[in-house]
Amino acid sequence: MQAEVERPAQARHSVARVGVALALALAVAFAFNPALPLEWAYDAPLPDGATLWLIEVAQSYRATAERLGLDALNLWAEAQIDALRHR
Amino acid sequence: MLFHTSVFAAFFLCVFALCWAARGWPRVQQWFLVLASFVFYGAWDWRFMALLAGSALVNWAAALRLDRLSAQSRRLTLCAAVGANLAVLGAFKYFDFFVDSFNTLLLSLGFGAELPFVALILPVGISFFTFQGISYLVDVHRGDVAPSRPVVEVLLYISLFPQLVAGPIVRAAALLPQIRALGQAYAPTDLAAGFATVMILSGLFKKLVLANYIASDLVDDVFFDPSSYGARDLLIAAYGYTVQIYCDFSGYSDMAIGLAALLGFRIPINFNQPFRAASMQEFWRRWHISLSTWLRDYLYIPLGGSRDGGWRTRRNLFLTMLLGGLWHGAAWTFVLWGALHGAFLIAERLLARVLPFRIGRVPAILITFHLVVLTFVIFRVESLALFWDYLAGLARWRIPMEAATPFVIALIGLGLALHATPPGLPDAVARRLDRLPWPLIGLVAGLLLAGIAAIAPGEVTPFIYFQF
Repeated sequence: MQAEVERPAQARHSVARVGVALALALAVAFAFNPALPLEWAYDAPLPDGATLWLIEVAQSYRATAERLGLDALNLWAEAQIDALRHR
Repeated sequence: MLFHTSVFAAFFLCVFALCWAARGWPRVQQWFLVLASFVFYGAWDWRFMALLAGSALVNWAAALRLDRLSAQSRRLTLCAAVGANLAVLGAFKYFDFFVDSFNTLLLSLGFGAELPFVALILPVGISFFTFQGISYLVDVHRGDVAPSRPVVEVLLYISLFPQLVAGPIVRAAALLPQIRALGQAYAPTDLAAGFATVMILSGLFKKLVLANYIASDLVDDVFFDPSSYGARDLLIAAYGYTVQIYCDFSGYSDMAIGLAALLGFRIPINFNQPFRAASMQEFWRRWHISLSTWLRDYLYIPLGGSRDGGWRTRRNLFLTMLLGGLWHGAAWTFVLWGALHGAFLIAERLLARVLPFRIGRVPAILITFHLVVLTFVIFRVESLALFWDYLAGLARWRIPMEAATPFVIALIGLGLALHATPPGLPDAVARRLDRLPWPLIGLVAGLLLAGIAAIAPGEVTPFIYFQF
């Protein structure tokens, strides 16, 4: 039976704390990708007016985030990977 | 909706919050998870939600009926219900393949008439949820699990979204008790956050970084037209595909196991360092474990297993592997792949009897690994003609290497090195993570996630096992 290869799972943290940690992890990851809200805005199945408003908000967020240098990690990693691929 | 997308991340966060907010109301929690699973499935193509629901309802009704019948009628009902599952799978997945093969046969015999194709879209995950449905029926028939009266339990068992579209194939006897225990004695108040973090992040790294770059920078081009490349490129691409399919599929399984753990479910592992196998038999105990154990318990043993010894055992082995190959896809390459695995399993049993000496473990691992690599070339090529092209190309040593760059060779090496890490390492890392304060777990996971996203390529290739 499948139980032969079951891993022992260590349960340590409460559901609420894991939930907040999960939200924090996603917030941190998304923060490094300022273009993400813009992708969501384009794909959102909303009426045209709402979509246009969302795109504007997402663009201004992206501009602010890029001014703060939040896209630096992505740009640096992209340059390094490109250099390695074409060496 | 794919695991590595930001849309899935947002979806999962909402599901996690609402699922645990319903703790204490087990039926609400179960129905909510069914709803979330159908939304997840419907995001791919909403028309097939009815097929998924129909599959679950037929199996639910058949299992209830099994519970009320005499032994003779139970067998008939079981056969009818399993037949219904296989008929749906056959219609969507194999109908055109058999029509095509039949038409080719007619043409070769000089008949001009052709049967028409139906060109149905293959519903994603149909092979996986059909096998889970059969597992439920057989487990109920054998008395391993009691039939579920509330339909929601079977709906959730068949559709639970972390493992719905590409496995692992979880047995009814393993998952249904966990579904029934939601909100009862088992109801977890603590979650394995470290374990889930390790599984999800390692799965993402294997899929997004290793499998993707190996596919896009080497394997896809070489396998598309093997006659354009020399022996070195072809050889490295064969190793590359072996590492790619391992990273792709085990990465998906790891993510499924980690996500299920966050929802309170324990799903058994699907891969256990398969390239350390010293025989083909051992390989199948380590590779796609949920499928190989399913085939063993629901096909090989009912066929007679090794009970009668001799040629019957060999026939059962061969048939099991042949059908296992066909399960992967409606193409002769998959049939040949399964047949070769069956033949290797039989050959190594015969050799073990006649060889006057024993091969050491290291040479045995190397031989097994290279047989596996060879069979994965058949698995990957689009047609048998391309497979012969591939083999013929392995003699072209004068053509210089052009596709296999140092970058992609390093990634293949990294994939093999990660595969070879000690089996206890993920659990050791998980235990260390669990010792951290919970906000720090979130921060570390977020930074690692951002790092993986930063180095992953922009275009992500589809999961290989989605097509099955």
